[in-house]
Amino acid sequence: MNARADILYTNGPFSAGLRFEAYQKPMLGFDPRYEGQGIANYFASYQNDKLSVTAGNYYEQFGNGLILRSYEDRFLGIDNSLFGFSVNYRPWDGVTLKGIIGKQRFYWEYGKGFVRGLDAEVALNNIIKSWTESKTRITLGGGFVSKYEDNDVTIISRQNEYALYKLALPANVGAGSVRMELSHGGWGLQAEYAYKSQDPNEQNHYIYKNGDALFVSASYSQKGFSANLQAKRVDNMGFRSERNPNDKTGQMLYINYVPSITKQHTYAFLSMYPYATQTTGEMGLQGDLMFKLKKETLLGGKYGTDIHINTAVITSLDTSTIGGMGTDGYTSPYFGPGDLYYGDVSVEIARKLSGKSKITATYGYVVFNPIVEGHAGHLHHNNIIVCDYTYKINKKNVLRMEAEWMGSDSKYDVLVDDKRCGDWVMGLVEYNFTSAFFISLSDQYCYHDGIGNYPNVSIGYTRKASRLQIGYGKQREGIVCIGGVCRQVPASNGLTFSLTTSF
Amino acid sequence: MIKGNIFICALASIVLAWGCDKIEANENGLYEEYAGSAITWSEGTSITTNAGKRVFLEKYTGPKCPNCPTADDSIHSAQRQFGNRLVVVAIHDYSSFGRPLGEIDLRTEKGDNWSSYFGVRNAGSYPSAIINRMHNDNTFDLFMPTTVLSDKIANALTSALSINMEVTSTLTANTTTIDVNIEFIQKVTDSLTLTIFVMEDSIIAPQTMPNGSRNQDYVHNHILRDVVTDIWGIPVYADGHEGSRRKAELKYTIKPEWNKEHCHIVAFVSNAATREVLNVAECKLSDNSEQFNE
Repeated sequence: MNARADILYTNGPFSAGLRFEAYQKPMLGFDPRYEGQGIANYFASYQNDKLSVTAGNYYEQFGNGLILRSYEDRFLGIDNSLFGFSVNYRPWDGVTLKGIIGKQRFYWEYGKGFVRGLDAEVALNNIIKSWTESKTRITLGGGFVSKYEDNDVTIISRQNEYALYKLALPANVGAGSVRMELSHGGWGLQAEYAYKSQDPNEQNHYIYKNGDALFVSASYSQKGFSANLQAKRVDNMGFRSERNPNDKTGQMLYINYVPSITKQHTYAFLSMYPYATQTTGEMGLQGDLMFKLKKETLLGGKYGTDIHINTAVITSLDTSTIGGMGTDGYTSPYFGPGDLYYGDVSVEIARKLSGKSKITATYGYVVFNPIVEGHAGHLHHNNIIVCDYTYKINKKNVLRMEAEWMGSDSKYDVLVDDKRCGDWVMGLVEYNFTSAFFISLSDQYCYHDGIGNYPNVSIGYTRKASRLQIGYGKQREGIVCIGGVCRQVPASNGLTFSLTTSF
Repeated sequence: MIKGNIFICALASIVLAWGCDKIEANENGLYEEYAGSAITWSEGTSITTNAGKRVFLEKYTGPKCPNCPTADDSIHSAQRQFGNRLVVVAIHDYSSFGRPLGEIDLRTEKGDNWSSYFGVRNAGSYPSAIINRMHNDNTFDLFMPTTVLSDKIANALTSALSINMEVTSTLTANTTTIDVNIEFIQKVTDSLTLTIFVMEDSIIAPQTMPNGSRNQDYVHNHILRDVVTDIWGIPVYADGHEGSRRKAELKYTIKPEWNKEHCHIVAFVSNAATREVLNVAECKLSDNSEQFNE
């Protein structure tokens, strides 16, 4: 059972809060080190127009998060909150300075590393008077984050060697970034480059190579049309506040966050192989196009048609090994892609058929390299078709039906035990009535080259800010990802109950 | 706003002054303080007085574990029966039972890695013990050491002796020179590893007792302090033929907060693949005579 209560008190410029959490025992898929209960987070803060100061647990992000992002996601079981002080100061309109200092939460304890950081952001249009009314908006920013961790001697023995080695570890590891955001009418351009000093750690096998990351996003939008192109290159940018945190989830004590550029699909089969960001090294591109076919036209139909096309490709870096532990590890050309990690393309067409009904049809193609999840094996190629139909019976009663099919060249292998392999069909019927209740029935069935049948039923009730949901069924082992950060979900069969409320 | 400026300036000073360290590579492109000099292998000597089979018992415990003092009594009783044929280590891991009740934290990351690997953390049952890292079917043979241990230890002692071992420690200031002698009694074809660690006796720290009370002055013995080698050991540089002997020598610096008089060095040889322990030896840190009394 997982439970939590956030309590917030505000009085003028002062506020204080705490979060009580209980894991008795942690639900399946959550790390057993969460077991226990108590006040997990607490803080007190003061805020006025120019200054805000927080003491206690807090969350903060510099830019896109390439050098700092402390955040919390209860569905992934991640809480990287910092415990210490944070200050946010706005000396002039358009100028924001941030400073943080603290340790990161690690289940019911704190990590060994001490994190310190500064960030500055300047909105040029606010400080240059002649630019105030300009259609071109420019924001510049930069930050620096440093981690201190005692450089206890780490003695290692190399494979096939009979000697012991003692590494000279840096106690302070720094990461800096510069960023800009530019917009002009419907056009937008965002870029951030980050650099990290030597950070030998368990994840990079104690190599001393510097890390860097580049993230660029360009977009254009106007009424009925939008396009977005994103690119990123990440090299040795896993930045954690402990070198070897003994964390099997691989997600705790991250100081930074590398944004995901793959689409977060919502349909079950399209999201069956989610891509987890590889902070050790990856590069990729994503393109996204949305447009509307006008209503009362041949193609657009009576009500118009929305079309959404998305594609992404992610590869490893093209690396040449120059050594193992205690060396710079490898070299890689900046624009040299390595093996394919992930690729997808999806086309979604949504059309209103009448005043009461709407249909959405989606085709998707996903290529997935199991090495991303730590398994050897061939690339999986999946074709997916989804049909989603919604019928509004009246103001308070809505019926939704969903049918999905996935054809894959992957075959179930008992040694790997990946139960996602094979060809699948799925059906779902959901009925919302009186605007407050809903009931949903679904089944996923692997009919070829795989195993598994996963029926589920779920009933829910929503009233004001409270939501109660009871589900019963079978869940397939898999991976749940949010923003490129993933959690392993074990197979389960049984009853789930969830209640959320706020007042 | 003066307060805000002062805070930002103070933070800027801290962050920029100690932002990052740069480690320079040596001529070989390595970022190491020393390489290859820490351990030397040479021809070993014959083991006579310290020969024989010993049993290695790992106990996973913690200050918040009320049944752990019962296990300590049970192990103490076994030590009286088997003398130094039984080598015990107590490991405090990062489970909720291992959290310290006061300022003295007896946990180690390396011990926690062992705990996770052998399935103690996952099982969540404390105290847990394992003898010679033996298997029971496909899992490690964990058990609760709160009852009589004689049978399990006696069984382990009767298994075939494949190697003799002895360890000595010569302490100079805070640095010890550790010598481990290994003599093959039978031919061993499996890959072997040698693991060496430091443990400390007689540490006074709080402990939850079986009746739920807290004993502030509980005496913790056999506490794992550090693993000198890699936690899974370093390869034993030997051909494994019957009668062959190898000797490993390495230096290790003791941490100042440990009581040298109460520290011991333990060395064991295990199967690199199965982790099963073939033999173990123990000696005091502060003198070079091995503790081995029949």
